[in-house]
Amino acid sequence: MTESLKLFCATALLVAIPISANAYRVGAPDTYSDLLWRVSSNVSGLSGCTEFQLDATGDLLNSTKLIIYGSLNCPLQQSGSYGVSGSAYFGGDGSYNMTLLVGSSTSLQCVRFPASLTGSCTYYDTFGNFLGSAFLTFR
Amino acid sequence: MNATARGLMAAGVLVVASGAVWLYLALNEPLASVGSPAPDARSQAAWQVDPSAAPRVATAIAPATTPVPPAVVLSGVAVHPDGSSNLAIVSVDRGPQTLLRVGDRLGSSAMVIRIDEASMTYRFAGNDLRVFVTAPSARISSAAKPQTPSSDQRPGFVADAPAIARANGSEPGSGNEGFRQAVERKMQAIAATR
Repeated sequence: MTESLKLFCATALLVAIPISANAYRVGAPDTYSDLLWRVSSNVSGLSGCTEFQLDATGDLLNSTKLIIYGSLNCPLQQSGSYGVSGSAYFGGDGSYNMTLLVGSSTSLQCVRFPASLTGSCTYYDTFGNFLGSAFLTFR
Repeated sequence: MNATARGLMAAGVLVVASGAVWLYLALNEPLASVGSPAPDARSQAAWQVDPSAAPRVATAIAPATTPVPPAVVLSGVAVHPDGSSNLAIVSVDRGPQTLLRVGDRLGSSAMVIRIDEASMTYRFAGNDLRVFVTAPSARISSAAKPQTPSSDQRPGFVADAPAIARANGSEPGSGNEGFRQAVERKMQAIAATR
């Protein structure tokens, strides 16, 4: 193979890599740490839990989805916590929607939060039964 | 004309005459041929109408209204040692699963009357119907509270271990402003493309 041909192939490869990367949307996700939502609820077993300490990770430049993880702290309840994991996505109407699994048997559904990320959510058990409401405040 | 000719002529006339007679009889012969057995009173041609037969009238009979039992799926059973507090995990008419005890209603028209290790029996429209569970039954201890978790905690609670801020001292909530700005930018970007 001639030297010029080798050079051509190498150049083509160097040009192709970023182009193909853009085609597959290779991006670097960001992690938003130390997020805090104050929460109030009357659900049994959760009424003593007052704050969600969460991190969120996602590439908001190339995606509309985030993973969310952390804990629900319960200082008024044996000073313990529940592990929390879930996700959030931006809907076609521009709303923020978040679903979290709290502990082993409770899910929290927050639908159509505005840009303030504050609003009412609903607790369900793993059977889908309504447990109660919660109000989340993002300051 | 000699005798032979006359004889032949006579024979020919006889043949023609016989043929004409036969033809005449054939065209006017009755349906029942001579010598056929007498018609059987019990058998009749399909196209013949028996005037003595009662007319058959097709009537539409409306089916009796039968109540339809609910569609019950028994996903699991929790058996209490004393047998009196057994629970069944049930889905009715493809609805969400619920926990039921003896005496609870299934839908609006059925009631649970028995729960054992492998099945649940419910009464509907006066009939006892039994459904079986495929999953193995779970045994619960007499000290457990099968229906409602204690008011202090739900499954998954980790006592005395609240989540803390990061080790480098950042406080919970210190990331809120940055995240809110990122969320606002994203919402604006979505609105711009709508």
